[in-house]
Amino acid sequence: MTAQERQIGRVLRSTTAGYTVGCRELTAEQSRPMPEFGQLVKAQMLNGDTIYGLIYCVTIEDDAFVRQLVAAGVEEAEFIEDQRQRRQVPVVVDVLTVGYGRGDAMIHRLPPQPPRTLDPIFACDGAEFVRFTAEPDWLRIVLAAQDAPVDQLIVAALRAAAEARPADQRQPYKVAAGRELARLLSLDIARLDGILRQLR
Amino acid sequence: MTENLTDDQAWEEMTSATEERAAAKAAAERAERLGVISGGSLSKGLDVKLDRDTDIEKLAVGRYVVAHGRRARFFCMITDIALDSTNPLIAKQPPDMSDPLLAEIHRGTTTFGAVHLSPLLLMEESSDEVKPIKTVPEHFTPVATASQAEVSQVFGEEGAQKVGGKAIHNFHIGAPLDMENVKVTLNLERLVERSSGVFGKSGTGKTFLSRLLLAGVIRDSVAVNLIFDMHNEYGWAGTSEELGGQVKGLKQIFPGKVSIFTLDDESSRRRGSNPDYVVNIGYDQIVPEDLEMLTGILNLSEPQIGAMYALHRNFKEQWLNNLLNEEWIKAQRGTNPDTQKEITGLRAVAEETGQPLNVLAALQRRFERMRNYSFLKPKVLDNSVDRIMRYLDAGTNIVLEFGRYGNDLGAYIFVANFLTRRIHERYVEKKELSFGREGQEPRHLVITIEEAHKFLDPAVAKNTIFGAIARELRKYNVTLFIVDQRPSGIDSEVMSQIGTRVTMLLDNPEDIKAVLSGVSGGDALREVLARLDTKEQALILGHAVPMPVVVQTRRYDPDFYRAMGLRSAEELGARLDENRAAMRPPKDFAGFD
Ligand SMILES: Nc1ncnc2c1ncn2[C@@H]1O[C@H](COP(=O)(O)OP(=O)(O)OP(=O)(O)O)[C@@H](O)[C@H]1O
Ligand SMILES: [Mg+2]
Repeated sequence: MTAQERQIGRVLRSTTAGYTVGCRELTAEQSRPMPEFGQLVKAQMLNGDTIYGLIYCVTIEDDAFVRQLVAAGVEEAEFIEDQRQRRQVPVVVDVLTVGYGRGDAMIHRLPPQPPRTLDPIFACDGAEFVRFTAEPDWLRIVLAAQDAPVDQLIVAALRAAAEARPADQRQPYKVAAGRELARLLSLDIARLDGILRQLR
Repeated sequence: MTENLTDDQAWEEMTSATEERAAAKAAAERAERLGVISGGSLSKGLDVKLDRDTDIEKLAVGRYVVAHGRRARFFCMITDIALDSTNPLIAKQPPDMSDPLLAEIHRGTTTFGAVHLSPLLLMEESSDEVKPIKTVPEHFTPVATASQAEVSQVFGEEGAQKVGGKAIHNFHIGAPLDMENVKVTLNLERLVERSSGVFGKSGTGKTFLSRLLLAGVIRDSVAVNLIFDMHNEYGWAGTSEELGGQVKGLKQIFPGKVSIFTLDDESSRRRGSNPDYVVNIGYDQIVPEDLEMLTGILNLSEPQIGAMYALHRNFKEQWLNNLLNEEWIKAQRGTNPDTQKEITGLRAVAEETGQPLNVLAALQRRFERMRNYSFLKPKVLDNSVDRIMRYLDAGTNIVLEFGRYGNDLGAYIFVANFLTRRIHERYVEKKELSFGREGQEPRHLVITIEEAHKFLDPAVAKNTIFGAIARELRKYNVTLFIVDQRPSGIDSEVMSQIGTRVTMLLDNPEDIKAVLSGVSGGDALREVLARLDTKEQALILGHAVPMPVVVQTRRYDPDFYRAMGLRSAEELGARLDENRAAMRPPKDFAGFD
């Protein structure tokens, strides 16, 4: 898959802590990746940095045509599919920035600048996901997020990160990550327990 | 891959020996590492958070650990073990530990083990010396189980050592609790330098431990021993309850260094101990002082004691012979000063000595019992004390077996007191001569007595020889090794002179108080004492150890005999064969041209 093929959309607006991506459609043709909750995505900066983020919200808004189709009671599959493919407003994907890459290093801090509008956003492949999650410090950034459904996001991201690893490393990875969470959430045992249970 | 490396690269790839050694050391440290210091104070002790991999169920209080600080190592002991958590709520809402993932995550993170340490000594990197502890290690200093080298640095390396030009011998006495393979040693010179004691209730292993210690003293010739072997356990074939069999006595382990003397030849021979000398005491050798100690046992009254002295004044060394000699008494004649009539027998003796007749008659009855002691003879040709002194002077240790008299407290106390008084006198003489350079200093003598409280109870300790020896310290090169199950019965002043105290389990609070009297940190030790096993565990404190230590005592078994230098007949035979084989020319040897 080329980088072009892994593109999921372009930046609509951004802040240091995160950005919003507009995607053309949700149901992709075969090759296009669909934005997924908990997925790791990246933006390429001019200075060579790569900004990483986790998808925490996918919003599909209505538009005038959708309303009309629903109001008119259109049932033909043809119309519905056509409407879905050619949307007037983009699917909106909210991304939480969790770090950046500089050279070979993965840095679990907020980047100096956010991506600019209309920068392309790409889905990361498994290897990159594994590299980014090798150290558990990104969990700290997620836990500090304001608007995201933090616990669910952590569960989804950790499960995906484990899944990206070879079968024999999945359990040890979950244990190591779980211990980091146990340290970070030692004051909130009920919450910790909730997350860990969903990690199983 | 490797083929493509140049020689230089290959060289670079190789780990150097120092690196390897460092890696091995680091690995060893990791293996023994328990956790990190998490808090505490010098006065209240240190807290350690255990590492996840440390199995709390394998720890035990009493283990020695070392905190590896940046500048120094801190030698500490585990005094408590606890369960802790980062959040107390977790105890109230326990996670589902049946799930392996959850269990693995929680163990060591939210929930973890903790131990409490009592800091004991400081070991500076630059020197081998240990110092009293005056500070604590930093936060998160790694803590590891103490190694043999570290324990040896504190207690002394096993075996002979030269310290400041003086030879010392460190004797392996046992292992710290929970550290089976580590040896704790005790300084034998310091053990005998002042009087020492082994205490503990019946069956805790006092006799076994005493024999073990005495074996060390004998092997290294640290002092010469005189052992009053009340129950025939030291010289030849002591019995072991547990093995239901016999263990070797000191003479069997050191045939050339130990002689067995006996009071009861018949019993000694029956047990196969082959005594070297039979001790007999003549009535004419006994003076009233020898019997004064028996006041309690013979139930002597004040007037009776007075009468003894009067008899002695009148008849000199024949006093006891005469008193017990019916013929002689019958033959006595005198006159009654009031009536001027002739009087005979005991009445005449009473008249002559100025003692009431009934007192003399009672004294006679009390002494009747002595006729049953076959070791007491009206007259003996050989002086037992001379004989004992000759052996001791030559460095031969003596075990005096009591045979059947061991069950007779009167006989035991009488003989021990009789001999010790005289031997002590000789030592005083010799020592004083040596001050004037007229003679050699006598060899340091250690006198072992069991049931010591009978000799040292407050009523008699003031005026018996044993009390005097304990009090005069080592002035005359004689010290005591006392073995006792009722230390509270020992005069407190004497107790305060006992330099090294080895105590096994005691349950009577009075006894515990007695052995810990005058010891700093007594409260903590009381706790330790009460928790000892019922057998073969001892708390050692005092002069011979740098700090109080609890040990699992060394086994007195064939391995021990071997360590003391005893070789079995088969081994000696094999050695002989080896030597012979080495000396015999090979089969095809055709001779020198
Ligand atoms: N170091 C040891 N090695 C081997 N066995 C031992 C040791 N210490 C004690 N024992 C076992 O414990 C038993 C009791 O020990 P010992 O006779 O020394 O007790 P004690 O305290 O002298 O008892 P008592 O007060 O009755 O004289 C021994 O018979 C032996 O079986
Ligand atoms: Mg005994």
